[in-house]
Formats: sequence, structure tokens, C-alpha cells
Amino acid sequence: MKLSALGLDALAEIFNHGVGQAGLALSELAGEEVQLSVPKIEELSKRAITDQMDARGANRVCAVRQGFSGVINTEALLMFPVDQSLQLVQLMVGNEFPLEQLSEMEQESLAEVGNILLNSVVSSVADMLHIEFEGTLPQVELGLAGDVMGAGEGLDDLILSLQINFSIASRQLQGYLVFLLDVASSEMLEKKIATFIESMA
Amino acid sequence: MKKKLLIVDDSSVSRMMIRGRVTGLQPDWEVIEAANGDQAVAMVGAEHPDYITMDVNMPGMSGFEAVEKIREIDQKTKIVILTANIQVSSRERAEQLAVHFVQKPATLAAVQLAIDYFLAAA
Repeated sequence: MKLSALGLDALAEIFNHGVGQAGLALSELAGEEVQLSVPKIEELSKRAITDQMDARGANRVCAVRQGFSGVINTEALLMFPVDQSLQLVQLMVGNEFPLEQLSEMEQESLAEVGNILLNSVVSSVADMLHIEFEGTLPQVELGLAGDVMGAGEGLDDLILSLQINFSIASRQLQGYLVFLLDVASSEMLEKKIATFIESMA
Repeated sequence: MKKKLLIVDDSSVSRMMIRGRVTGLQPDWEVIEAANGDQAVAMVGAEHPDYITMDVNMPGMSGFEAVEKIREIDQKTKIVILTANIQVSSRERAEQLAVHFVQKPATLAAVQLAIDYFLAAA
């Protein structure tokens, strides 16, 4: 994807709105304010993302994967360091449920957190670009960041990466949102962004 | 007579959260669960719930398809779509089906919104 500076800026604005929605959902879950960084949008290779996560000591990640199809097809991944997964589970269900019940439901809790966050972002993108997405069920994966992103295929291919940091007074969480787009979808996204910019003019 | 709520959600965590909150707010209600649309349709025929919370994105039949099937056999049960899919198109679909829309997460406030709708006069 070859977006102009203006196009990248528009995309950042669209995602910023979506991340705001996701932040609202997180704060509703946590029952306290969530601090969100401005999303950093870059076209990066899977290798570069893996290297960044490695540098943060988060080479092993927990990921929630969800496919979204429509005029644009994307595979969205929410990735976070594996040692933060229990914090996310606690965030999801709160303190009102017993710990033994939580561990049994860890995967499902993570899937549901991912479902809520990814859908918040993707729904916002859909509404702002006037498109519609159909989502698959969220899948939880655990492993090296590169493996989770399918690094075996096209390690140096550029993909759309959206990095957000979020923190809550009681917890420090850091996450990556990654959107994998095929060539046709990248071209369509460029067109939709151009239309979005025109409508703003 | 005791009111009966059917929670339809493929996520057992979501069902647990909704059940926990409903039970706290309406301790007299009977709460039953279905993990997909097919089960939900079958349970409506057998259990005749008064109220339903319905997820959208589930394996097999979607929540919206399940609502359409339910309406073929039952026009009275009050239904709330409770979903993370908050696209405008999703809200519009709920409106077309004349069901209420509440967005996830299933917090106490969200569950209260669903209950308010259930208890509002028809």
C-alpha cells in the first residue's frame, strides 16, 4: 500500500476514533479511566514488528485473531506480551468471579476481550469509510510474534501496523493491533481513504 | 409468575458475566442459556422465555438469523441484541427486526439497559 502523507494522516484519524471506542469499552470493563496513546500507524514488515516486540522483551505473545470480510478483507490481530494475559482476563471479568473459574476460562476471556477491542476499531473504520464488515469468530493463539503473524510467508512484506499503548492505574498493558491486508484490499482501502478525504474537503 | 431470561452467546465467559449481573439485579428471574442460534431457536420452542439477550457473531447461524427464526414461532418475547459488533449496519439490522440494541462489553450498566428495555411497558 502506498499512502500519501495526507492519506496516512486520514487513516490515523479514522483509527484514532476506533481506538477511542476501544478505550471506552476497556474503561467500562475496568471500571476506571484508561490512558491510551495516540495510535502509531506504520507500514512495517512482519520482521520489523517482531523485532520491535523482541526489543521490548515480548517475543512470546498472546494474540487474538479475527478475520473481517467485505469490500476490504483483513485479518486483524491483537497481540500483547504473554505475561499480560492474566491481567487482561481479570480486566474482563473483574474480581467478582473465583480464580479457579478464571483459569478454566482464560482462553475464552481473552477471545472475548479481543472480540470487543477488535470490533470497536473495525466498526469505527467501517462506519467512517461507509463500508460493512462481516467478522469471523475470534481465535486465541500463543507463540512467537513472528509465528503468530505467519512470518514464514513474506517476512519482509509490508503490512499495516497500528500500535497502541494503554495503561490503567492498576495495570500496565501494552498492545499491538495489526491488520493484514491482501493487495486487492490495500488498493480498495486507498480508494476509500481518498473518498473519505474528498468528503472532508 | 417467575420471568425467564434466555442468554444466547457462544462465549461461556460472556454468558457467565451476563448471568451474574442479571441474577444480582433480578434475583427472582430464571436464567437459561444457549451457546448458538440453533440451540436458541429450539429453547424458545421448548422453554418459552419472556426475554432474550442475543449475541450476533456465533458459529453457524448468526444472532440476526436466529431472531428471524424465533419470530417465526414467537412474536412476543422481548429480544435485546447484545454484541461487540457496533457497526451502523448492525444497529440498523436490529432496528429492522424491531429488537433492542445494546453494545458489549456486558458490564452492569449494559445489562441494566437490557433489563430496562425488558421491563418497559410494551
